[in-house]
Amino acid sequence: MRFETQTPDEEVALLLRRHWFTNLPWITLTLVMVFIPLLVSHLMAAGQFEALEMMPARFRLVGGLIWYVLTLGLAFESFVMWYFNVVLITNRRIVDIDFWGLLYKSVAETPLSKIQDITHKVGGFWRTVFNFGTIYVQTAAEVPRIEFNDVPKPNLVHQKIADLIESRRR
Amino acid sequence: MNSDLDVLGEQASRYILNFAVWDLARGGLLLFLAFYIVFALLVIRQINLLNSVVGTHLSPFFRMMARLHVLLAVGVFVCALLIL
Repeated sequence: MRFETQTPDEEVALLLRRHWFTNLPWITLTLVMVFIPLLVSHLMAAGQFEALEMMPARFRLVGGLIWYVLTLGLAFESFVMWYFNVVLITNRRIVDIDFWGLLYKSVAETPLSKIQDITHKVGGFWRTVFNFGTIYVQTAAEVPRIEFNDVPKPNLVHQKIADLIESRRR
Repeated sequence: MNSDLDVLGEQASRYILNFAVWDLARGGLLLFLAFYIVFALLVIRQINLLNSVVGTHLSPFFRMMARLHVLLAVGVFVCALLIL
């Protein structure tokens, strides 16, 4: 993998995304949306959806097509947002790349040499069960604090960043 | 005579109302789909931006999916235009 501002001698040591568990809401919503038209057609066959029976068949067909295109769009957009919101830890710096909505991005970075303090926090039932949490990196750079939310195995990430800082100092 | 006219009037207004409702729904759906196509085109632009910032082995897959999404949106729009 490569990223936009990567220098030739820079290597990516860690690429962090939110834990897969954070995708559960949109995956559940997508599955529900996939099954809703099937459920509705079953209910209609059983004569329990009179309101929809008044609708001409051609509208029901187009409505179903629109529904599935929207479902695909929602799932694709959600997956893309999860996939591209990353934190890159290289042998030189930490780069936090965030995207919102369709066309907004924010890139925050700090050199490893400017990192003053790292802390991590795992709180709550699901975070404890699946071992994911937030890492806070305090810096002396322009961006005073960088947060990585819901990263998997925060203790190992914490250790890895500390090791990289240590090896950079040597 | 008068009641015949009443029945005829009632049928005509029901017909007009029915026609207007589904015609309005057709227009609404087509407009919605037109906006959706614009959204799908924006997604292509977004994917290109994302791929330029972070390029991975999945980048070609995302590009393909974004184009497929536009094709589906256009396909549904054409279907709606022809069927409705």
